Amino acid sequence: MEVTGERPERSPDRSRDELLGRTTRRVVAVASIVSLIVLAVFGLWVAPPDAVQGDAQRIMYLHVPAAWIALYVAFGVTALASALYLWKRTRSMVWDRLAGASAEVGVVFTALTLVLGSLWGRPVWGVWWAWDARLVTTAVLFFLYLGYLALRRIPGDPDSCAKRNAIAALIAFVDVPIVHFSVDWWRTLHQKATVFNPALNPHIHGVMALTLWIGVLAFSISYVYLLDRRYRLAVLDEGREEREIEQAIAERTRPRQTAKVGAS
Amino acid sequence: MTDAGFVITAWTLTAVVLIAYVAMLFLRIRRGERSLDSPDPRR
Repeated sequence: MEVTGERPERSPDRSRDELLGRTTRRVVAVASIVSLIVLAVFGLWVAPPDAVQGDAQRIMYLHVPAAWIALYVAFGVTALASALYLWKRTRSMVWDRLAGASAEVGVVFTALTLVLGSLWGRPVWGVWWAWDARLVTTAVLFFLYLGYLALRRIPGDPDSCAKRNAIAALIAFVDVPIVHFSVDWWRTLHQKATVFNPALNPHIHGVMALTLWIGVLAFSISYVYLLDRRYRLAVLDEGREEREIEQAIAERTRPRQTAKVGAS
Repeated sequence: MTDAGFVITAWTLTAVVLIAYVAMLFLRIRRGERSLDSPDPRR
């Protein structure tokens, strides 16, 4: 391949280098730590043990928020940002970066969801894992987004890569509603939706419900902080790659120019 | 393992994963921002 001094065209970058300003980021970081501490106090001490499951049910205050933020928020943002990238009027590398950053945070939360679910399943169901529709579809979701993250690492023309990534993200998102409705569509060991059930009538009350919502709030704030940091890292990585390419081009074109001067 | 053991394991694991991920991001961002000032981007 001939190396020329020309760079591949890149979609417009209509944004700054960071999602949050410095002050906002600090406020979010502090709010995240405080809310997680409050969650620990409520989840481990204030909330009473479950009448049937006993103390093992306290894992719910981590498992459910992690699942909700991963599925509905992180992968939702990835899908939305990917759609905005594919739409020509809003096309910008910002959406590609945002999609990638959100997917990585979502994968971390999905991994937590699976492991926490396993730790909850062992004392309650008697097994670490069951070939249950909810568990299997969630595991498939985890591997789909791992594949998406792997796909993002394949080098190429920035615009083509971003389009490819966006299409892959939208395909992966198809599994999210399947995970959500898996407990209704198939007979499962996993319990049905407690809060977002078809009747929208939450079967959880009092301090337990409050603790669950504190968990959702704490994980949401943590997600915002992690998303901002991962986005910043993506910007820095892109800048480094661009400088490396520029340097490689400069190194390859320099001797040729020198040789031409010598020949004339 | 008792129920309490599973609960403590779950909460500790969550804390470790979140702290490790934040630390990894922090270190990679710091390294990236330092390399901005460096003339050689591969450093």
